[in-house]
Amino acid sequence: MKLLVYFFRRMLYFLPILVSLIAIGFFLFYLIPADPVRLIAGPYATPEQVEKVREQYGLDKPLHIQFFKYLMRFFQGDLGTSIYTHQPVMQDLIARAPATLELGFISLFGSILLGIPVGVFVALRRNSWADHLCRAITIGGLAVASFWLGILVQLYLGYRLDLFPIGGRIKPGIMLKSVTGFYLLDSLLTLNFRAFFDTLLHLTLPAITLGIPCFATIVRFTRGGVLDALKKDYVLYSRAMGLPRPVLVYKYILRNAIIAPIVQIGLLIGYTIAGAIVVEKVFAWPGVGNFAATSIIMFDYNAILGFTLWSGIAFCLGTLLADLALALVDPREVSR
Amino acid sequence: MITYLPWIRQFMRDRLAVFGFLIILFLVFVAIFAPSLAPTTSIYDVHLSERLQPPSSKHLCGTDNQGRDILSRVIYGTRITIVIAVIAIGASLFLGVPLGLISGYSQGWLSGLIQRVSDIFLAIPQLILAIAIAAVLKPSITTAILALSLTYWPWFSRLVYAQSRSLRISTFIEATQALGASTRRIIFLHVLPNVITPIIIRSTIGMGYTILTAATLGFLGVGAQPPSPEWGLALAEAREYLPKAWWFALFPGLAIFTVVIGFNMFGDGLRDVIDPRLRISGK
Repeated sequence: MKLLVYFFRRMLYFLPILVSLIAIGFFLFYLIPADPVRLIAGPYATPEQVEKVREQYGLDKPLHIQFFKYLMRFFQGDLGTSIYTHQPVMQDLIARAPATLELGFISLFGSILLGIPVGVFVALRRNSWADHLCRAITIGGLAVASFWLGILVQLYLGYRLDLFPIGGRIKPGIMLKSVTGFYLLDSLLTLNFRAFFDTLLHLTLPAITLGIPCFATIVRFTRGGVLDALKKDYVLYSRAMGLPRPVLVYKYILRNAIIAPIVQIGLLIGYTIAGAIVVEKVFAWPGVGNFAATSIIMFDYNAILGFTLWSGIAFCLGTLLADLALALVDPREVSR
Repeated sequence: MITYLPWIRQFMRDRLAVFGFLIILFLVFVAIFAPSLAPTTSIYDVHLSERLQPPSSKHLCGTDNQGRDILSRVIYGTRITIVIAVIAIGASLFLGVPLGLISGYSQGWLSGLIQRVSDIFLAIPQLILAIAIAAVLKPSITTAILALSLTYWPWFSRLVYAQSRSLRISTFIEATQALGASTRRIIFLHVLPNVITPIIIRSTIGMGYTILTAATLGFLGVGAQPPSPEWGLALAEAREYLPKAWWFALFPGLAIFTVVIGFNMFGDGLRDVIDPRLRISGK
């Protein structure tokens, strides 16, 4: 019960953030040098047609009323129409969401699965060669531009060694019945193993590219957390009591050490969704990020704002999930 | 006056931080002397007969799709990178520090408003907001700088806010107040000097971050426009010529990587020396 109240209290915190994000979008719309009405009506519209469009979109009303309407539209799920797909932006986003979520999930899940054990391992062997190697990877992983990393893995693992396909989600010609839109899930559900392995192959390079910064962050914070916990009195005490080392590490130290990485993982959820704009562009991944990258070039404002909002929601949800996980690991969080 | 000598000595012991500092020095050196260092100063001239040549003694890093010398363009790119990072961070400081001081030292609705606005900006990743701003305005380097400044200042306002908040209740400020110093005098003569070190650390770390984001904007087409030698833009162009022209994609990316690593290592080292409480354990 207490947990539920905590959850809703945290959720309320994000509402103003989303509204402000919409407000930023709204005011940006008015900062556009060109008249938005002319943009919608097209270059050959007569003055009468322009006026009609202005009325139709409610752009003749005072600003605050326009903003209120704009806000209401957003909460009804209406993000406007994309100039280049000529479809509602909401529909475009939903159609592409599974591709992005699948990629984001795989890269983050992989980073967590690898990053936490590696972080613990190097913390327990501080200043060993493994620790130094890990530190180098961490520093590099956080400084590398993901589009460059993407191009490099594409070049060496894709073209040169021909190990993985360099783009797309699945080889053209492989049939896959769409159930959920998540190809890995769909292929398992329909027992289509050929499609499953092909999807996995296609996922590898983009997932590595998107995952390396995540991996670097998780290793760094896990290592820091473990080193911090090792200094605590209760660890010294438990050790003096003769507690076996594995029990000490996994039951006592990890529980305290995991707090910092959990906060980071929450932020990384948002990062994998937002950072997808670059990685999806490099790998021609048919997701929301690629859609946004194209809409930038096409000056498709509704689509750009749709992507901004989508990323904003992803960030809020990520933080929310991290808060929740934190509350489960550390009950002190809830009563605070 | 604080003496910096022990800090410098401690800083010199951190090999990675010194290495980072050397990279930054090198970057500044290359940017200043670009015309003398670059093999050619005509970085915009198209030589179609020499297009996409691999690295050779004539073109150490090869040529791009328009036959331009890549090494020269990467060297000239340092200037753009420095200009973007310095102006963006400078403008963020100019906006964020005063706002942080005001909201930290004064109380009331203004303080709350500034902090709520900062909250919103800090909750959303800089890249996303910068993309939205840069895409809606006319894409150019100026727009990119504007977008980066408009999205980075909350880091400074938040930092200065937290620092000055704790200073406000300290004894020496109370004493100055008792002596009858004006609020403005207290803020600028007593609070500001005490928050300057964390500001310096934040700026250094912010530089690396801003350079990376600026390159991303260039890559996405909302930053520098052709024929600029900006590194992110160069990578976007190079992508069209893979896998053959690997050198086209390798060198601009390597430049971004090196510079960002330099700022990150320098910033981390600086932070460890000046404010050890902020460090991640055992780093």
